[in-house]
Amino acid sequence: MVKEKFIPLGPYHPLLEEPEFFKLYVEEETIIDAELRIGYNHRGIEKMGESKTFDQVPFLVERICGICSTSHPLAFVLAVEDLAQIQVPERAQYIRTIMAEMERIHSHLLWVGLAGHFLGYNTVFMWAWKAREPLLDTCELMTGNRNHYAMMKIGGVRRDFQPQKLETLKEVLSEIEKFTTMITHAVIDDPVFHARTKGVGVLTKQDAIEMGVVGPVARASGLAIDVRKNQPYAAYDRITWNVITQESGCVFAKAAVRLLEIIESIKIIRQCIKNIPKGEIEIEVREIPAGEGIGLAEAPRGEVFHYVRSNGSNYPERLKIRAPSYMNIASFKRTVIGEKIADAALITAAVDPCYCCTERMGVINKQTNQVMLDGSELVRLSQLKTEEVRKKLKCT
Amino acid sequence: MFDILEVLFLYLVFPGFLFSAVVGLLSCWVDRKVTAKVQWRVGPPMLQPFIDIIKLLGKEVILPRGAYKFSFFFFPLLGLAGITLVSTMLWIFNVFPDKTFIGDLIVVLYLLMLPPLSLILAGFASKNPLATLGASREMKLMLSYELPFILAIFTIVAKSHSLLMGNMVTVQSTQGMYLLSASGIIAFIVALICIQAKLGFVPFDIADAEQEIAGGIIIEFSGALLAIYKLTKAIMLFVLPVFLITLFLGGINVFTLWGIAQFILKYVIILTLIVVIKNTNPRLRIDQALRFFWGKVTVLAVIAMVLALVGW
Amino acid sequence: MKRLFRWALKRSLYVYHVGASACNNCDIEILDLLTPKFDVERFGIVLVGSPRHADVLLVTGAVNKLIAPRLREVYEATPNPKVVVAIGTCPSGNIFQDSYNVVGPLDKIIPVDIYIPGCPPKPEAMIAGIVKVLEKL
Repeated sequence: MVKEKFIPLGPYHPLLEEPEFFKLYVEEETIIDAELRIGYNHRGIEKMGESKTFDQVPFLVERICGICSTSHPLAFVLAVEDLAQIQVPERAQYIRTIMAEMERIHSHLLWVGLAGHFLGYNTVFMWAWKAREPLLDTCELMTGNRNHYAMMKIGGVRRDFQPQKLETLKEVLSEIEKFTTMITHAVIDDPVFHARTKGVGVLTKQDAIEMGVVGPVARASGLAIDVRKNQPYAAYDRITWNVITQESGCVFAKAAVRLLEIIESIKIIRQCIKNIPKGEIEIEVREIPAGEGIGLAEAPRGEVFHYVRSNGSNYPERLKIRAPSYMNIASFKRTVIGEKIADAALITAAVDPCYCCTERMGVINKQTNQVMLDGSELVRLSQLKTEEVRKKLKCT
Repeated sequence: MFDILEVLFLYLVFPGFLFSAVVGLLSCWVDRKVTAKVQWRVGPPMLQPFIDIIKLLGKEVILPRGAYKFSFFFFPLLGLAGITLVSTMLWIFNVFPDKTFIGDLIVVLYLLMLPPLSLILAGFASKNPLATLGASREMKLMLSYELPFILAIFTIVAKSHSLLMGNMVTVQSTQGMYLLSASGIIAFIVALICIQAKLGFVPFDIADAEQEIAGGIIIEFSGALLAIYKLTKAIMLFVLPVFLITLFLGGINVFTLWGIAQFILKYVIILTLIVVIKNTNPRLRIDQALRFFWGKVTVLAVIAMVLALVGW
Repeated sequence: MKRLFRWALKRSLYVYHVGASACNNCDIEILDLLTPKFDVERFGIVLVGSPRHADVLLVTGAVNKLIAPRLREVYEATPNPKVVVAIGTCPSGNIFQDSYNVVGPLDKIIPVDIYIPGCPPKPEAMIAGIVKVLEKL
């Protein structure tokens, strides 16, 4: 007889910063099926975007996600600029590139730390986050905030970078480069790390194409897709850099892709600092004409897609966002079946899912919403206790 | 023999509960502090583990819905009582080797199994799926490490030709410690690895892997129950190294200052080894741990055993 | 005895982090508190994995319809005495408050003891906020 039970992973689970809910159907310790419930983070951003002016929307979409807080506004302003045929000054293009790459570095470092944490390597977690800290401080120095930089603006960027600040950035970058090289050697060459990650959670190239994954997840499966290369925006076409790919598609490959991308990002920022021209950082935009536009940007997790339709008023008529994790999470089902429970967390983490990015699918969410709120079929997690039990305990 | 008051004193104050708890909690602090240092942090103040325990005692205890009340509250206490008894016995055998009795080593081995066993039962009693998973992992882990652990301990039995712990201490004090032989050192390494697993430290913290199953067994423990769990772990952190010292490192001589200093030195060395192993390894999966213990570690233990039997 | 417990509680806070449809930023800054630069373990503050172990609930995000009942359950699962800290601007009404899916402000769902505003609040601000909590205890 097959003994089946399911293990809830979430909605509150220590490995996940954000609430979501996986149902893992297991046989002993092996996973035979998986189900994903999202909607715990849905805030209705697309709909709200329609009630904000074009100038306010970047502020809103920035708050889709705390980590990709450059990519989303960047994709949005690219979409509006596409719609209104706005030519952005050269200096602004470079500043956008620098911001996007800084974000990529700190996001990947964060992932390195979290991956170490999931493996029980808390030391790696602490080290990676320590290395990330100077970069955040530099972000604060350059933009005024550690996250949520509010740099993007239709027609350019909000703040200029003074030369001495770029010097500081250069110094921080060489520190991070040193650390990344160190961690690449220390962790990637570690036999235990190999044992835990190699061949685990493999997403084949065929599966990757079928599931339509993007970003590092796709690149780890041998698909060389990267918006920065395929459809260059900002200043990416004026800079030489490589798209990192790995063939095997396992957790190890995903880690390798991210670590090597940090080095590439450092290369990109250095070239930007060297080549950044002088001049204006924005042009004035008075009217947004009627029409549609799309913006694509490569967030740390993959391709961010924004679609904007305008009817000539101050407000976008429709805003549609597709975040990379939405594509990537779906691959979870392909990678996790047949693996051990102990690896499930790691496999999920390898995708670097970002739920706050994903949770915008109004219809689906509404449906799950109703189902979830009924809640009767849910096996409750430990947290879910009621007042009555406590009362009973007290009187007996 | 001891009269009843003496026994109570021995069990509850010194060297039993109070003493072991205080030293154990101090060891916890050392563990946390060293961990922090390795991670480039400052770490908690010295009294932190004590404060944690006091605070937890003052918190509300919640009985989860559907849990078995008796098992849930009783078994953590049983584990604590068991480990305290081990501590008391170990010290008595070290200080008064003539108080030893036949088979006392086996009693100690049994009692050492009590804390994990009782935690498993308490975990099952809480009826939480994650706790159940943690308990079943702990069970597999126990199955895997007990075999090499007992083999390693019986290497010493083979060397000393007795099951009396008191005897082992006396023999070592005249003939030098067992560690200083080929079989002794191999058995010591095996026992140290097993102790890492008994303590539930990385790389064998599979049963209460916080990132995978949210604390596992202890997920439902609140307030005083959590305090008991922490105390049990703390006393284990003290007792298990003392056990190793008794068997491998020549026991404890409390009658001279030099003897006490030696003991502290040995204890600190073992504690540091444990903490360093903890901080430089990632967690293994349960099947990997099982293969590791029944494969490499058991082979090592058997080698030690054979060496001991041929007299090395 | 009560004073002893209160004294101990102030020096040993176990923190459980609840993300209630947040944008991840506050959540990451909370984790940042544990890392070498801020290292709140110095003050005995530890992040725990189960609300059963917690003294403090750190709630982030604009509460949406789906998460509100879970939030209540987590609150009830936490043993007394407990403190709820609302981190960031979101729990007290913000850019998201007009959304159809946000039931928002947090204090409508569970009692809140202290608010730490900011988007996200800086780690220093969070430490300052926790110190204020200590005074309240």
